Amino acid sequence: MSESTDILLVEDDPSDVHLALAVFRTLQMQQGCVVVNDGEEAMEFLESRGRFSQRAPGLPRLVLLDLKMPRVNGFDLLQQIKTDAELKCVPVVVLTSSREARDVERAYDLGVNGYVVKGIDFADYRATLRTLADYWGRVNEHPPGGVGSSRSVPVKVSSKEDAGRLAAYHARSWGVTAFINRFALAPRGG
Amino acid sequence: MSALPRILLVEGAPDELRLALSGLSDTGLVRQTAIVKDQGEALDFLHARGPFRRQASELPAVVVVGPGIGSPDALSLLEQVRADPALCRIPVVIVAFAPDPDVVRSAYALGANSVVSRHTDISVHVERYAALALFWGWANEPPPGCLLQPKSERRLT
Repeated sequence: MSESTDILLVEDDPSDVHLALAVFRTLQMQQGCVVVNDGEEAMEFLESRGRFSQRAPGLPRLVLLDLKMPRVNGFDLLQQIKTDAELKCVPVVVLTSSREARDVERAYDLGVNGYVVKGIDFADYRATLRTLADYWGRVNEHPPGGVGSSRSVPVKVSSKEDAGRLAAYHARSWGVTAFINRFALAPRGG
Repeated sequence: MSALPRILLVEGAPDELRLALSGLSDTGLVRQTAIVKDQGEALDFLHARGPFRRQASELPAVVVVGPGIGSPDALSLLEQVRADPALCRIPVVIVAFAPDPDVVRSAYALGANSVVSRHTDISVHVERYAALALFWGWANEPPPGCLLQPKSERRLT
């Protein structure tokens, strides 16, 4: 996997976070994923504000976005990203349980790059996630001048961190995210 | 080929077309791919006019513009699709020879869903087409009006 495989996962369901991280790990992504629970946190990350003000500069290679979330939901976040001159080229893929035509249509109208429905069947869903992560992490050419080597997010997933993620799986949603990001966003030593 | 293809491949260079079809054949989607050779034919196909007149109103789930089309024509086609209310939501993927940053930036700014670089290693390039087809042909939910895959086929392996 290339160095600039960075995913901002915007998801409030701990089980979905766990599954996504497990799939990313099986793909041997050397650089991992930052997890936030809602659109407000995602914007804080993208704009390096709040608790993300000290993070390394750079934009993610992909924003993976749930639609139904507390505070700022997925549609509102998508609209904010796609109307922001600095952010609008960042690829955003919706990952949702909704296949309703009005949701799909609205997402495309707002400029979403892709729309993936979470399957009910576990094996199907995992295969879909693998396909998604493989394509957007390895094949897609990320936009220049904001994503990639010069502004990449140096987030690495090590086996130790993965073990931590698994241990956090049964915690509450906010607890999981705080746990993951405490490791994922920490400055890297030599 | 099915009467209603899931993928519209725009590619006028025979060698590039062979590579693309090789990648698509690995995914089972080659028989659900329509091929046109330039942007004029692509627009005719999408509007179901001229030699591409057909009864069904559905659109393909994705338009893939190959590297043989060239960046100026690829961006021009993208711009026309996005400006057309009947076509504006359809996913468009641009595959380009070593695209310079300006081309990639322009493609995203004009509304490309994805940009893929044409790899110099043929085997890698073919594999990229396979990954492209898997995501856009199977995993991605196209906008209303585009051809959905039958539910019985909605399984990635």
